[in-house]
Amino acid sequence: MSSIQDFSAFGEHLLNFSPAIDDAADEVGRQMSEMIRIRVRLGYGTSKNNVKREKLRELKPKTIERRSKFVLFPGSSPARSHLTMTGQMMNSLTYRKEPGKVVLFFNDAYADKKALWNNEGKYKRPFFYLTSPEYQQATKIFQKALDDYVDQIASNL
Amino acid sequence: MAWESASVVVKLKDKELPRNYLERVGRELVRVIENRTKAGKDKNGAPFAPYSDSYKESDDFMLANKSKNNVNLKLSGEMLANLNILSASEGTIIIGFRDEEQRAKAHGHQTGANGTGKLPVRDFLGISEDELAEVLRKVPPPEKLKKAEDSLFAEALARMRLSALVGQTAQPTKEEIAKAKMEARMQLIDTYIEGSEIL
Repeated sequence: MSSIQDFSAFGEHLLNFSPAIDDAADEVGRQMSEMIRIRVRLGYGTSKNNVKREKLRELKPKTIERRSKFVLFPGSSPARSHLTMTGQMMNSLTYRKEPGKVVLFFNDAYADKKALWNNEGKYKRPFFYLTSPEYQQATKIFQKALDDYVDQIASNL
Repeated sequence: MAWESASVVVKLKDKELPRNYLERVGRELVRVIENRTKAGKDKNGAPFAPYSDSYKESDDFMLANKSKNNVNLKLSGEMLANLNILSASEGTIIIGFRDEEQRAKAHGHQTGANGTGKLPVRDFLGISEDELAEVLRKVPPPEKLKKAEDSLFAEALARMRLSALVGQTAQPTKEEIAKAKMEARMQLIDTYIEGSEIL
């Protein structure tokens, strides 16, 4: 039978797994913030995690009138409900890594306040969750890191 | 509905391959389709038809920050994100879309909006023989492993039956056979770790 010494190579490989997961976490952070940003700009929100996207609630005539007086983000129009006027709020969506998790957040205090108000406020248009395809994409990224890692171990044995 | 056919079916020769192996191959096949589509090529390796001028000038195109020359079937990214393994059993892997909306989008791309001409045909959902061969080279079937395990198990079973035949023991029970199978696997894993020629 094998002795414990035979597993030393596995031990070394397992220690090396951490950077692979770290890179995958970066990729998840980058891709999730981009997917949410584009989904919202196209006019879709979601009221909870892992469900289908929904059209954001339409704007009130008063809001449309107010928006018509501003220079809007390229591609936007006064009547389009997509939480975008100058683009500053969604542009500030980014991520950070913490042990065992990826945190998506708004790196500007005012944008963060606006996002919270839109997501949970009185006239809310919830958007700050992951839709099911977004979840699937995040899962794929971690799964690829795992598959590549297992391949690497197998090729080294 | 017609768009329910928006899937790829890959049949491997060996019908007894383990499910986790089929899923591993399936994940690689999904990545092949995703990467090729992102690179702007259809299932035959031909470049996708360019975007129409009206689409390139549309608000959605601008809002999604798309590149005019990179035709990659990606606006929100949800369609390709939803491409996944639908089933993997008995040597057959089926790849497609669980979500109806994404499946309908994929069908639209493949058929040019059902042949209406509203969209050009961009047939991205498929795997060429070369692509499949490349994936199988990357993820080789565990045939050698399985054969070696079967041979070790057969040897153990033969010993047990021979022992019963000469009256030294009773015929092996189901539990003893299962245990022998497990021991054969463990013996094989030991050999694997010790770097024998099995792999």
